[in-house]
Amino acid sequence: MPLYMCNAVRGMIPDAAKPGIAADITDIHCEITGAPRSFVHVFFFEDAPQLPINDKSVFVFGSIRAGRSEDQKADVLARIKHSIRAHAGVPGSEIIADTIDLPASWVMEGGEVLPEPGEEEAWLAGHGAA
Amino acid sequence: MIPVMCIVQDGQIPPHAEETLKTRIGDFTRRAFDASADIDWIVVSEGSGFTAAAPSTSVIASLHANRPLAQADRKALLNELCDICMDETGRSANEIVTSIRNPKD
Repeated sequence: MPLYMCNAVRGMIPDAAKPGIAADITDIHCEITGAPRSFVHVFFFEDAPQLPINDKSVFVFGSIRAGRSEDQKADVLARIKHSIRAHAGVPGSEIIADTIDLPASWVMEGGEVLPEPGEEEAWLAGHGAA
Repeated sequence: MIPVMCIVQDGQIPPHAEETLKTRIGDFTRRAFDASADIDWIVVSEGSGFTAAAPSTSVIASLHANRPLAQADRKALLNELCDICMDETGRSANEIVTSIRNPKD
C-alpha cells in the first residue's frame, strides 16, 4: 500500500508508456509522502468494469494509508495526471483521479500489519529492507 | 456476501491453484464472517503490474468485513488470509498484500 490502479480505455495507455508512468507514480508518492518505494504498487487495466471511467479515457484510483493531508493528496493526483499526459499523450481533461484513505492497521504486507505513516523505518528494519 | 477482490499477475497462478484459492477464501469468509465470498478475480496483464517501479509479482487480496473488527481480531484474520494466499500461490509473504476493511458505510 499504496495501491494505484489505472484503468484506461483500450489503447489509450500503450504498453511502452506503463513503466515510465509507474516509475513516476512511485517517485511522486514517495517524494510527497515519504513512504518507502517498496510499498508502492501500480497496476494498469483496460476497460475494467470495477473502475468505471464513465465518459473519460483514464481513471486512476489510489488506495493509500490514512494520514496524508488534503494538499498532499491533491499534489499527488495532479502530478500523476501530468505524468500520464507526458507519457501517453492523454489530455488532462480526459483523466480522472482520486484516492481513498485506508487505516494502516487494516493492511498487511510482508506478513505484518503496515506501519502508520512516519513509522516505516522500524518496520522496514524488522523486514531487513531498511 | 463478503466482497473480495483478488488481484494477481498474468501467468502467476495456474488454473487449479486459482480454483483452490477461491475455495479456501470462501471457506475463510464463512468461518470468519458466517458469509460466502463474492470474489472479483482480476488479472493484471503481463507488463502492466509494478511494485517499487519494477515488474510486480504481488498478489492482492482485499475484502470488506460484515462487522467492525477489533484490531486483534483483524490481525489474526489478516494473518490467516495471508497464509492462505501464500500456500496457494507459492509466493512469499513479501509478495502478498491483504486488507480487511470495516463494512462499507
